[in-house]
Amino acid sequence: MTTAPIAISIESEGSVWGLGLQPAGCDVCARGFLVPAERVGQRCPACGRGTLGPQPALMRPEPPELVVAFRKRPEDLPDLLRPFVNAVWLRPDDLAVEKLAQRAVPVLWPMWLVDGKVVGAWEAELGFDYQVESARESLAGGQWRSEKMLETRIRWEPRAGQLARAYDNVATPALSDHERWLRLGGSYPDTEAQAASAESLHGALLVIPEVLPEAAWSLAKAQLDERAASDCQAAAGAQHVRRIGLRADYRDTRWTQLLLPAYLTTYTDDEGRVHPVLVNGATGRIGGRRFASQSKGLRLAGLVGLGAVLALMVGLVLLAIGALLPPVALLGGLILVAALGLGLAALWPALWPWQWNRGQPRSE
Amino acid sequence: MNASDPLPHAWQPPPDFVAVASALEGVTVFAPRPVETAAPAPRTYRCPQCGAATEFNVAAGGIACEHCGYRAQTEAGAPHAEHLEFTLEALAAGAQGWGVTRRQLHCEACGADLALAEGALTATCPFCASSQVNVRAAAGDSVRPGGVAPFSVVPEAVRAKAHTWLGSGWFHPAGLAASARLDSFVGVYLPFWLFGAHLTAGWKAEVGHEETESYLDTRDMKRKTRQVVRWRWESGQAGVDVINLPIAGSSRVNSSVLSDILPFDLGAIQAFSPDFLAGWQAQGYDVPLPKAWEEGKAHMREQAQGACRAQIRSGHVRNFHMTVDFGDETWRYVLLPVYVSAYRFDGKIFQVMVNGQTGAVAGQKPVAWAKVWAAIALMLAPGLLLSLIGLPLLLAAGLGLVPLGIGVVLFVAGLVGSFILYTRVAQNERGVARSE
Repeated sequence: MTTAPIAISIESEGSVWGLGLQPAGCDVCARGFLVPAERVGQRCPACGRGTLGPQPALMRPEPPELVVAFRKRPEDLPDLLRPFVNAVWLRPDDLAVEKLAQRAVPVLWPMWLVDGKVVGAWEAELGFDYQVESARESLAGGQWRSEKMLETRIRWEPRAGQLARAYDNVATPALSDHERWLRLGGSYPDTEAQAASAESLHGALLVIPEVLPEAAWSLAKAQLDERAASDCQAAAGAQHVRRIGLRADYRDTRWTQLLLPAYLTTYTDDEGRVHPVLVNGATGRIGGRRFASQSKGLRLAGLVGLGAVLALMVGLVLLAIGALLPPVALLGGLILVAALGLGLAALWPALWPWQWNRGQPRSE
Repeated sequence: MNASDPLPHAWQPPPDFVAVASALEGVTVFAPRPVETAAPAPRTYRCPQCGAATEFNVAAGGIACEHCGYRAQTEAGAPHAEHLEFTLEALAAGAQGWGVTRRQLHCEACGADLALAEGALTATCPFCASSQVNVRAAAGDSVRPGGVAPFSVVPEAVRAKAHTWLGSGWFHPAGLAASARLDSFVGVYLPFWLFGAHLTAGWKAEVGHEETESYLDTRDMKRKTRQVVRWRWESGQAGVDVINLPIAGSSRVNSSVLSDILPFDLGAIQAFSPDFLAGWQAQGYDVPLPKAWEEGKAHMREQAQGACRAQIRSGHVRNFHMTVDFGDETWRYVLLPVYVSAYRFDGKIFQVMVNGQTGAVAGQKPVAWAKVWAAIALMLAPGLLLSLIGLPLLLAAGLGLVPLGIGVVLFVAGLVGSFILYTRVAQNERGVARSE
């Protein structure tokens, strides 16, 4: 008996969970949020290009069950962002600590929490550790010395049985780009999850789940199976599993949400492309692509190159004078060498942004 | 939420699975039925036709009744006894008894423990020919035999072989074969531990290589050659597979006699069945597994040392040291067939054994020491005589160097021959006289 609840449609004017939030969506990236009414019409924090407009959403009526609290406050952001930004030498003007911190929007992004019972039968091949005594013997000086050693081996045996176990809070992705969020912000300390309340959700935009329970069920089921298999192994007292088969019914499933904190901000590069930056609201880890400014590099290279040309000209003049006053020729030669060095150094700022940008991930 | 749902009733565990303890509420666990380790119920071997006692008949290869001719083929078990690992439990001496409840008889004269068939309260001890036996409770903490090699030599053939063996040899009392009573051969299954292992040995030593070098002799300023030994460190590795190394599980039998009737045909070992023991004696082990394994390891490491030494292409070796890593160690506890008898001669007891598979005979024989000393005297006499003639001639007249030299050589040769003779007959008396 497999059960996955059906999502229902929440209209734009509805007030979700009694929190005074309403669904809104970005007209560019289509990301959906639950936002206070005054947020409607503002820039999308996810892509930084579109604006949030009223938009109906398909979602479950149950309020979030758990939330990981923001441990990083907005005033902490400049200090967190500074190393991230300063790592880029020739950065775009928009990639600045103050601008990123000013644009940062606190959001809570969701994972499904599934509770359910697994009732069925199982068969497995389980491994049990046992120890055997072995030996290493050494001959030195005509005398044998024996050293006993204990070696742990695995005895594989079949087991079968039935189970009826209840599992709470099996976390399952609720966003289609769940992996990307984790890649950017890193993992969250799940031990810090606490019961969700109006206070704990206040002030943040809530990302609406895109993966509906019907679609997330296969992942949730796999995790329930995994927990059940682990329980079967523990019940049998085995240390290893080589194969396990489960024929089970899944009963009384209940779907709620776990909300994870993040700050979303953006910057625009020289070519006008907007790049998102994510700050983990619990750990402070920052993720996002950082592009250097190619135009800044070229400008700096031009300035250095101009200096090289001037030095070249001065050097040549001094060489000409050196035909009459030989000591001046020596000075001219030194200036010519310096001009050559400057000319070579002018290549560095021209090439550095290209090299840096090549090192950035192809996708976020 | 709690797991209050009842478990599905329709499910049935796989065949021959039984419920075992579960460490978690809400999960039941079934495991294959464990192999029965307790001794099965006592069995009495009686003829289904006439009710007389039956026994395992070597010629028939099964249970037979001598009274009515009933024959029942013993079911062939697994071809080999299972190889077991050195688990801590095994080394702690498993506490299983025999496949069939048997009375343990303890010989007060020689201390041998004999497992005798049901109903036998006294018997002539095959090891000392004594009838001083008392019933003693069998030790309950012994490992049960995993295999048995049935007798393949019939008792009638044993007597003939033993008499032939007894009458052979020069330095034994005349009439030994005629006067010694060697009729009461008893077929006994003796306990053996069979060990196997893969040894990985590494060695390092200073090896000397003989080389010819030329040098300038300053006395006559000529270049000459001489042999020198150049030492250098060498190392190597050797792998040795040891299979079925037998170590006797009984300390009551004469080990030198026993080792001389080896080898047994271990390929004939079958999974243990009480049928093979019906009507025969069998001895339980009194050398425990850990002690036997230590002895087995000593044999194995000597083999490994031999393999390492064989890699050294020189007779000059010093600072030799090596390590041996044991791997894939296995053991088996099996019963191997031996005919045992003892006879009295001149007030002394001598033991004889016959391999129950190959018919090899070995045992102790009394020595006619008068014959031995006479032979030794004959060997020493020529050399001594020539020396006694040559020495006065040399001292008195400056002659006799040749007879003296020949005499000394003959005397030394006589000494060597005497030593060899003495050693061999002494071994005969202790128990390594052997014949196929």
